[in-house]
Amino acid sequence: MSGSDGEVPPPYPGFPGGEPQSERSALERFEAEAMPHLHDLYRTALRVIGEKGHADDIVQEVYLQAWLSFERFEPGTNCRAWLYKILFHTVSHHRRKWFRMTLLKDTQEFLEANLVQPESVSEQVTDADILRALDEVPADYRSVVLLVDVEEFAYKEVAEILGIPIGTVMSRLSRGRAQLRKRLVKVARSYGIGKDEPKE
Amino acid sequence: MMSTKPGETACQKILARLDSFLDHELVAENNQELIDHLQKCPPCAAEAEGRRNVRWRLQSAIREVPVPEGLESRVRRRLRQAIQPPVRFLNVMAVAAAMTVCFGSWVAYHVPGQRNKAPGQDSYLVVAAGPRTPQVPQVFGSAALPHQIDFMRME
Repeated sequence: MSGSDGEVPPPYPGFPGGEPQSERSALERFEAEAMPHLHDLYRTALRVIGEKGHADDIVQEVYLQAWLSFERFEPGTNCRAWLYKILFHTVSHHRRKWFRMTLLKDTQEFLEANLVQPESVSEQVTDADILRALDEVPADYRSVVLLVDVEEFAYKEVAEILGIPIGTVMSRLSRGRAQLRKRLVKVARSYGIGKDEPKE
Repeated sequence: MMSTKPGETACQKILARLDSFLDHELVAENNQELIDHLQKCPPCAAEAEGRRNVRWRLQSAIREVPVPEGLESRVRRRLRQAIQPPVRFLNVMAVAAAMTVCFGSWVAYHVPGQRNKAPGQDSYLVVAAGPRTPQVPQVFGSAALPHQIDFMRME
């Protein structure tokens, strides 16, 4: 581990269970890689879970799990995607225990939804309205919308994070977005915007 | 090139691929085809703009959500706790194992020799080296104990 004898040191020497000194420096490297994503992870967790206390707990657990498996993390690969993968894995592990999540079968009625309204979201629609509308989108669609639209992951990365095929990512994304826009149009109408539109 | 399914209009074809286009997931030549279409088709361009706008509003709404104060320090504390216990646990286990062995051998060594041990002798080894017969405590000097005398009388 010294590296002085000409040997190339392993990329991440000192892992959980190793000697405390190197473990501490490994922890510092882990934190340098992982901590910048803390806020994004929390916000995603909150939207997926819907409850602040649980989101807080889940994020702590995600970091703990990530640290315990940091040994298996390949340096140079996408740390953010790796953390999100752990997040969704942890969420699905707790899902039955904690959440009443809307199942996909309940949303078959939305399958036809595609083209909603061409207009932009009015300025009168607040951030809170948008978040509420998003929270009403079924969890499986919502997760994909969050990962692509907010976190800007590529479809391939989302497929990897959620453990689903790319085709499923694309269909959930388009349905999730369509539902979100439909709800936003409704909100806008409640403010008296776009009432003259004959659609819906 | 993107193929058009039977009965599919140019706009339907574009709209079906619009999400992938906006997500930069289309190959370059399909991108160009879409850009060309959007430039000459106002309804499709408006649709693209609408979808972009929802995305932008969603991003900004989520990024405004406050993160609980102290979350970062809670995470860091938990990570540090995760380092300490395994090391401490191993140490404790090692000490406990050593103590068990010591106590076990002490018991095995001392308990059988307990009866033969003379007062004042605190080691079995000394007892083993000395006389095996029970010794009279020296509290009464060298004289025989009263019960020993009685015992001799009865004989």
